[in-house]
Amino acid sequence: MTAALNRLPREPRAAAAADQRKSTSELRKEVLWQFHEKILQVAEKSVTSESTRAPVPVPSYATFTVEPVRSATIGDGSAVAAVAEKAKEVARLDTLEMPIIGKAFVSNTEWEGYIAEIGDHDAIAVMKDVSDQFSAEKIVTVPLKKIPEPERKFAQLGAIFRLLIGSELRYRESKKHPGKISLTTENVAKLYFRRAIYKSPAELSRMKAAIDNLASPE
Amino acid sequence: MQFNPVAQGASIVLRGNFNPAIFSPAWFTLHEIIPGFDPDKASVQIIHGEYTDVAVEGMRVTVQQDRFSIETNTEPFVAMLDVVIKSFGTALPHTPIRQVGVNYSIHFPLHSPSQRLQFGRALAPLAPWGAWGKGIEKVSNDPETAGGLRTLVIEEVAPDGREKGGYRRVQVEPSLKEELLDKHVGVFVLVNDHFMVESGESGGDAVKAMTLLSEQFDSSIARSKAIVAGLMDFASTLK
Repeated sequence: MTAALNRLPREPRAAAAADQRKSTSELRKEVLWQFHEKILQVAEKSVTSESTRAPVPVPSYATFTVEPVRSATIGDGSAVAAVAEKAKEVARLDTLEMPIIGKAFVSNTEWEGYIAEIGDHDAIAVMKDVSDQFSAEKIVTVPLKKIPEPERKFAQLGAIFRLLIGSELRYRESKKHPGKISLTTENVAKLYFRRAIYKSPAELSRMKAAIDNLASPE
Repeated sequence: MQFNPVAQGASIVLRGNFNPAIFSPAWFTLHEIIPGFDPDKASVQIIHGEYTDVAVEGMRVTVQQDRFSIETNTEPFVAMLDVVIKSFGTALPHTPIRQVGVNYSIHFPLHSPSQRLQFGRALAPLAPWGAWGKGIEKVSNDPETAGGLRTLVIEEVAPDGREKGGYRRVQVEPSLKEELLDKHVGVFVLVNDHFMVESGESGGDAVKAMTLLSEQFDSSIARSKAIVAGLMDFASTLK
């Protein structure tokens, strides 16, 4: 690696050495940020795009499972047609006709709770029924090894979670009847740790005042 | 539930001013909107200054300049709320948002074509339609070929003392999910719960919209499910 660096001219060498000090995640973040900027540039140009405009190069590190319609091709009108088609489709989005894929979960009961204590093997959680705000709180012990990945890393003191009990619907194309989907169900429980809890600035101020009030000596 | 659903879904729709091109998979990763999300696993239909359509982690995000929508067909629906909160509560807090919609839909089969025909007749009786209605009844009483209710929308205005402009609409139709359901027994219900965001100087803002959404999301979904359960209870009394 050092030999390779030495072969570079001075400035790129310094840049490459600096890159070497960065962690993989930092580099990845940078690349993503550059990609994001490119996408924005492409989109911004498309607003006033005309057929005479030279195509905006698409970054080579852009990877998609389905090739997107890019505004760089707007000159020939194909992207405009595609957008118009999509806009027509989205106009009926309220009907919620998302394609049926793989599996889906339907709950019968949903609980919300938080982790009140956590040890090496178990967590003690307090939870209550989401659909009934007057329901009594329950205290449960959850073995940490029972928490499936990728949720386990979120299991920390104070973490807020949802526990759902219900059925998993599994969809599969029917071999007997082409064009039909066969459905099987299984009773399962699902655990999800909340990724975001929203508190408005006003609410945060009230909470801070309440904490300060509790913390202040009489 | 009296009848087992074969599919259900929920969505959050925001009306305001948006830049669709922002919502790329890279943006979701960059701002840690979905922790641990790998942008390579996203399915991108289109990213454009006027319209974006991407699928991330089982959720479909579609954005137009005046509309943001996220939908999923699997629970917990609150995962979708977390994405919206991180997007507009944290990453884009100054976005003007004027209206918020929480939608819930479900497809379920009744026990028989006859039961569904009676269900439709009860919700939309033919008697008020006079001779035309009688004609529909006369042509066929066979549940598999009879005419009747195609779509019905009932609206509740300003539910729960909601600010002027809010409403809850419930739409009932025969289910068209023929790949999953016998077309003579399926029922589709969509609940559209609509909130107006209190106007600020900018004509609505993300902070107010996120506060409203955080407070109302669970109760909206619970109320929608309760409405569906009520319809199921009623249908179960029919033969």
